[in-house]
Amino acid sequence: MTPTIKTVRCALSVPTVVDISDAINNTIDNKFTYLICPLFHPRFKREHIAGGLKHQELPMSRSDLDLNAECWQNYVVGHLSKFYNCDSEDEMTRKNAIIGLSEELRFVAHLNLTNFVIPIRNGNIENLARTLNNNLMNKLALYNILIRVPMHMDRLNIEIENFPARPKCDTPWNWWQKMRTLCEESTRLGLALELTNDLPEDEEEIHRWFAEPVRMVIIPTSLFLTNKSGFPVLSKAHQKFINKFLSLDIDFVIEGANRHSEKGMSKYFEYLNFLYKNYQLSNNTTNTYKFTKGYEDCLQNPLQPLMDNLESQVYEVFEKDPIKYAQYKKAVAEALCDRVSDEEKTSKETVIMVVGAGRGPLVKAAMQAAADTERKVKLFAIEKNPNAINTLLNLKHSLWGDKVTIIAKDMRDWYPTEKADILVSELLGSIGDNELSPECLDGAQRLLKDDGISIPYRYRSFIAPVQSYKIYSEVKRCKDYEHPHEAPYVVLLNNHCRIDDEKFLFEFTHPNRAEKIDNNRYGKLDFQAKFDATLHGFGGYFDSHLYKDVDISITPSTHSPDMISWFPMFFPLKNPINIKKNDTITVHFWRCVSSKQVWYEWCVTSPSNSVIHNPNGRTYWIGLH
Amino acid sequence: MDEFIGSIQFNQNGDLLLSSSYLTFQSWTGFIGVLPKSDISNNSKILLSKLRIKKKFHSAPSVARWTTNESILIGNDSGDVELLNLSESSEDNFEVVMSKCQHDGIVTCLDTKFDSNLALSGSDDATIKVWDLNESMSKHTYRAHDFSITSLTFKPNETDCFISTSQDYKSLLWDTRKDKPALNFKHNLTGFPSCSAMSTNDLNMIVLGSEFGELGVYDVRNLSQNMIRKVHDRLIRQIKINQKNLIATVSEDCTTKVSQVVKPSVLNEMDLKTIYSCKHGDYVTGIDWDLRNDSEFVTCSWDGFVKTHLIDLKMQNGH
Repeated sequence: MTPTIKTVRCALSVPTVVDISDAINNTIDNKFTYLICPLFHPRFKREHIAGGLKHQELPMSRSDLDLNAECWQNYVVGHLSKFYNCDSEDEMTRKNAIIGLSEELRFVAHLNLTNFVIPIRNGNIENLARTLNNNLMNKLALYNILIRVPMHMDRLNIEIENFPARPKCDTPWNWWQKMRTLCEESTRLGLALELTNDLPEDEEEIHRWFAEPVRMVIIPTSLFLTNKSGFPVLSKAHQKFINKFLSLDIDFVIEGANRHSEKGMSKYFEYLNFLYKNYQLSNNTTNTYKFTKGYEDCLQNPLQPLMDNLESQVYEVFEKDPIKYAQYKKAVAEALCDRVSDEEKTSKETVIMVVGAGRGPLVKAAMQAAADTERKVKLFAIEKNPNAINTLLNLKHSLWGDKVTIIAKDMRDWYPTEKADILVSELLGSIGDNELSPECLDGAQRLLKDDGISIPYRYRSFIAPVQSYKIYSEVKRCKDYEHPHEAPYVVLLNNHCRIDDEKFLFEFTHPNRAEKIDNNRYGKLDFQAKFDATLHGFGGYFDSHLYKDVDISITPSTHSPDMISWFPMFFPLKNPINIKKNDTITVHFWRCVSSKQVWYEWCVTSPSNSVIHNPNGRTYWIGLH
Repeated sequence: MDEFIGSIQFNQNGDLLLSSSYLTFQSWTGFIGVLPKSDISNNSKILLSKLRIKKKFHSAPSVARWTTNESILIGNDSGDVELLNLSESSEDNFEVVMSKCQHDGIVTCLDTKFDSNLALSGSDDATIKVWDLNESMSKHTYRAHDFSITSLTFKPNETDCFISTSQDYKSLLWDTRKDKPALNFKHNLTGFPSCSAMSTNDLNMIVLGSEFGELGVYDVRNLSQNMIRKVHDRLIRQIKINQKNLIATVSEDCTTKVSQVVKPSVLNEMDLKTIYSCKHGDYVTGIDWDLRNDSEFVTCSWDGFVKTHLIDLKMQNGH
């Protein structure tokens, strides 16, 4: 079924509103979704401290009766008056501004608008932040506040003599980070990012904006170029930027004079809609998008297939992965050819045991590998989930016959009559070992002959420092635990950026021929921040080598293309840590094993210390039985 | 309907140009009007709708300036810059010669050179446009400021030089003939400069007003030597200097004041003395000296009144 193509949400922003009904009609006639406008006349700077001024006897703005309530809510987003400086050095100006701002916020709540745009111009925002934070805590008012900043401040077209350059840490992103931190990462605070003519040279800066809760992208009409037919279009660089941000489900805003006057303002809307349509069409054709749409930034508790039994629907989702089983088949095929020469292929039989067989997809892959390489195999499928055994027995009856022997037991508890040449398993979670594959395979390696191999023979976990305001907010809201930041979550990381590339953490190899097997681990990793950022937690990934160089991976740098079976893991931090460019981020991870369960503990010690998360596995653990 | 009068200016015939906006209620429209000075007694409440020569605008004009005795340049809240000729034949007394919507925000300030075809417009969109009124187009668009332009003032007798001030705290001296036209000068005001003026008879004198009511007097030849005094309690809206170098200011503290630079015998102790002060019922937004009489000036205010003021250099305060 082809998904429907949606229309872009694009607003028109105007500097004044002579008559609000006319303005709304004009907005809709030009195809825009809604209007962004000042709620008070842009020059009506009102005095709140001194008394006796004539204008104080007048209403502060037009009447709310000028539109019906539904119209206000659906078609109008307010923009704060520009004459307020809540953080002025002058006491009178500051007090006037704070009272004025509060008056405007109350009016926004009265009109029940959904969003209110507030520009910030520099890093002095403490009084503004406090006033906003106090208002945001009011549960009766439901509006969101969108802080408006340009992507950067280098927008002059003239060189000015005698003017000192702006310090490097004084950027709009730093002002926003301060606002976000002071307001305790409130979810009602978002960003309205103003697109600039020159995009930052450093792509990392764009990634960092991408990790923020951007709700609107404001496009000045001055950014548009004119194509041969006289219609407004954007440069390739701007188009690329917009396509990237479209995955965040944002609204666009067109602002400024009509620079293509014969064509009308609607042409700007039509162009953005054209970009959005193309974006959706190209997405609908990719496999990955079809499977993952809707899961972006949604927290999931990691599965516990050892302790719990997986459900039919979960198996079905896994079995849809086009890449994973192809890689397993390839690995088994190569292993078979290495172990059985061409001359031996009719005489020698290879015993393959699939441990944790589920509903049999690996069994199928192994059988196909055997058929393709013309090697003789004897297959065992070992599975502890009695419901999956039901499926396997049915498959044996209808398809496999004697080729496969089904064993309904936990692989750690089965004492076989013969040993295996190849042990095949897929017991991996988002960071590899978190579904207790090491413990299971250690318990199953008695099933292997002395020269037997395991597919996979090695898997490794990788960690990267991550900034993601959205995921951090989701974790904070999670009601599943008393300490929600002490559990890792499986999540398709979308609205985020990595502060440094991922590094290798833990490794497990099979079979493990050590005298005493110890699956406890401790790892210390040092990262270097590529830019100023806020550390909200760590992304976890894995790679798994099946046989020789046949592997599957979800690390950002080596991700198997189109493989959708695993989303990354996110290890939260209790409190975000603000990072400066080139800071060393040091994180410590422990994998702890007891007789009953396995869990992770983690902490940060540079640039500042965090708590040790999940001590003794009090919040999150994986059961061994 | 109460008029929020925003700007006021004499032409060389003594006619007064007023612009006014409705800053609240349902329609945010506005007017401009022309009246001879003889029609203003002291404390005139102006109802622009009742004036003989007037024009109503759909989008309120924020500022209006004479370009000649018969033509007017206005800037409005939608970003339009319009040139109008006074015309007796036309229905509403004015003929629109040029109307350009090129600014992305409200037009915050204009300056014109009398009888020349050049004009400047500044806007909330942080750009400054230089207009050629004969060609009806903007010759340059300068983006030298980060935030709203608060004032633009041509240097008297020159059209290539002007001052711009902005909410980004910069005050720039412009010479458009140069390679690098803009020079930042340190004004040392605590707040951002909200208005500027230059003297006609002392071409080296620049006066800036700030958002906190400070007045700064500067000598172009030596900008480090400056004198800053707090003259008002709130933002200074406009400064005008007359032929006798008296500095008249209007402010959001609802007063208008006239200050004089005094140079006592000791060379380096200049001071600014306030010699006149008068109150309005609301912010005082515009001021202009009567060209034919150095001791008289008019002010306009959001209280809807236009007042005339007479400076007797021997008196300290008016009423």
